[in-house]
Amino acid sequence: MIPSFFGGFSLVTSLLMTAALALLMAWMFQDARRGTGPTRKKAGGNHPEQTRNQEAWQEFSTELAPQIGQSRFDNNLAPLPGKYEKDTIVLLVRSPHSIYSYWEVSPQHQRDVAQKHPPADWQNAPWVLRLYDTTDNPAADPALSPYHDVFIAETVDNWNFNQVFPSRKYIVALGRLLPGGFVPLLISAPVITPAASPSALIDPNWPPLVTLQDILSSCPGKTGEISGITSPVAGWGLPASPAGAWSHDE
Amino acid sequence: MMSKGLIAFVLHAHLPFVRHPDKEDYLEERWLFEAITECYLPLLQVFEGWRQDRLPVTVTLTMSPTLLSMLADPLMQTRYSKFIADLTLLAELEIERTSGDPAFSGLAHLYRERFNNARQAFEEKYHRDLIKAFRELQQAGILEIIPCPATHGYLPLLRPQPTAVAAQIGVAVHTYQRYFGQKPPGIWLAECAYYPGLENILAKYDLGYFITDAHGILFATPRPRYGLYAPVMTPAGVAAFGRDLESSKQVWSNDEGYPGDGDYREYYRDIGYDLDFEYVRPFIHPDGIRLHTGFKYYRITHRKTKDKQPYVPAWAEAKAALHAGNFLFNRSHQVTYLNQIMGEREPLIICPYDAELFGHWWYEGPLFLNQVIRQQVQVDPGLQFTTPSRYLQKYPLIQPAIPCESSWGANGYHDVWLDGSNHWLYRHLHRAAKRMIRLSRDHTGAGGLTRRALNQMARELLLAQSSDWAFIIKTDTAVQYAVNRSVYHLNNCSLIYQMLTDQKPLNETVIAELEEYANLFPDLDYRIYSEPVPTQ
Repeated sequence: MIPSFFGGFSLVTSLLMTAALALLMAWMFQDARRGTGPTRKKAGGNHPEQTRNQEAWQEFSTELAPQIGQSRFDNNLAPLPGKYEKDTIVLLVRSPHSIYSYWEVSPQHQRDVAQKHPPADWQNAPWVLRLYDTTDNPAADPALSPYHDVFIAETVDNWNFNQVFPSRKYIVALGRLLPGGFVPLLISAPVITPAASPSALIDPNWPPLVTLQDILSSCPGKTGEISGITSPVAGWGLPASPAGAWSHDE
Repeated sequence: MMSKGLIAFVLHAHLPFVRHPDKEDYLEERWLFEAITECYLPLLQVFEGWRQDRLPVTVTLTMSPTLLSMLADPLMQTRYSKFIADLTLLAELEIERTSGDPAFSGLAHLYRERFNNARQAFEEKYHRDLIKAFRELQQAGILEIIPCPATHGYLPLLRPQPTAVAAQIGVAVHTYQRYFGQKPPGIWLAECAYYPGLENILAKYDLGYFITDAHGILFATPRPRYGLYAPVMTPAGVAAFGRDLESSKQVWSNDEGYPGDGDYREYYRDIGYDLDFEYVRPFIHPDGIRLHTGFKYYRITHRKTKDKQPYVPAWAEAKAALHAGNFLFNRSHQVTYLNQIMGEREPLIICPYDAELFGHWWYEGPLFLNQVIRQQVQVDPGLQFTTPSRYLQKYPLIQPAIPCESSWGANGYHDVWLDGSNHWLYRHLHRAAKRMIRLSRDHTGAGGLTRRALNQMARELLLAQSSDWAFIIKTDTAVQYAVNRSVYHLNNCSLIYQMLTDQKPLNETVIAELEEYANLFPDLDYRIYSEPVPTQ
């Protein structure tokens, strides 16, 4: 019994020692491969030696702590679909002077429209975005409205119209310009651009107090400059930009 | 009784939903923890001081449904508890480290005291339930709390699907009632973004008012009699209040705003960046990414200098008091001038700010706010603090008008949230909303797993619609995170859509995982996406 007991003891001991050695080496290697990192000016005073022990204890405990859930929500994130195989055109307001459109036209819809036209004409017809100003057209009928054409590449799927006017109603159509005229494929819902100045409409029951109407010009003012007094908060607690709203350090 | 002029502070407290149960080391969760420590707890202390001293004051506070969901979440509470405990540990090390340096030693002690107080307040005073503390302040009349759209959706850009806009409002109102036990009196539109017709949806939920930027009112149709200094009433019976430009400029302006004063604490000098890597390593990100620890020892000194001087709290406190007096002095002159013109009606000055400005970006912000309220009687006893709903009670006759489409973002409209960097989002957001609406109409009486899947799809859609993602992408800060959050939630919408349209098997394990990950709005009912939306 005694030899086997000693034999057992030595086995346990050697296993324990091996495990301890492995842990120690793992820690040392971890420590060695860790760079010193960027060293910057200290906030004040020297770095007291006694804190190093606590620091090592903190790190050691962190490294030996079981790591839970190593995957993030965005590991292996699939890209968004390039197409939805749906016919869509949407017009969105950006500002009194800018509107934005995106669209998708399905191959099937293109074929359906194309078959009504001579193939040679269709294949060579340029792609066009036709922006209608339907403001003065109560029925919002594009056919009766002034328009502006933008020739685009077939691969383009969005566009900014940056020279539109405030308080106007617009519709955009995507189509192709055939010898016989414009053939629309998609027509958007109308949008109305915002006002960029006080309304000319006066309610006789509420006549404006004249001196209160010019507040924008007495302030840093007018809509184009409103950015000067909007929120300076750009993101949250993020070190990406050391030049802050009020600090110009670095 | 007529006062000389009315001032309505509106503080907008919002953070996107950044709860990540899968790992503990998401930097983004620190946004909440930093805000609790630096903003919400200090503001609570200020508000409770007013209650204790029975000051005749009331301010409006927006609490976003995503923020409420995180504040109420046990996991986030537990993680905050660890966060603040770590800070108190770091405070002990900092006291040792700075013991020989008189310029910094006092600050280290100050931080220890503040972080210990924060920990004690969170754990022992509030028992981790900050919402209850805010609710009690509302019951005491100190606060008028309002929601914002469910996930801070930027409504003018969700407009192609009015039902999606209505869901943002409906879920917000429902969440508010869950936490505050009453109907919200009004709403804060995310980024003050308004479009004509939105008021019809707000009216459906009995919301009494919203806030626009100044030009939302000044460019209203017909032209407003009182300019910015009175609300207008939309045809739907929802009042619109405009942000005052002068008081905004005094706080927000990059060039002359109070927070840029040299005596205030410098945000961008933090020991997380300044000290030896090995020293701060246990307190930064496990991957060695340096971050803001909250220990900041310098004052702004001068905006353009790199040679920052040590922070002197007494100077900063004195400056906050001085600036508060200056703010009131300017309001006093403003309303004196306006009284000469308006006569028949008290001028109303609406002062909206991000709540997180107070304490986080502007460390002394809560002190400033406290001083504004407490010095008012001394500077001008004719001023009175009010809220939009109190104003509406006092002045039921409001000029009818339709505000101008607008936001408080740069340039005043929507181009921050729709530009070359983030425009790609919207075709996917609109498609996902269309699918949600279609499924809701197709499954009017769904039960069991199908119902759970539909409810979860609604949560994922709402989360994808957070205006924060487009904003972060535009401002080039945590871009990858914002892009990934958008793609992640949109992908989840597509996945559930495929499950519910027989393109993939409906998998309970997957739905359960998504429910655990995005666990906000537990009472959400997907059928909100098949409710009719009022157009008039």
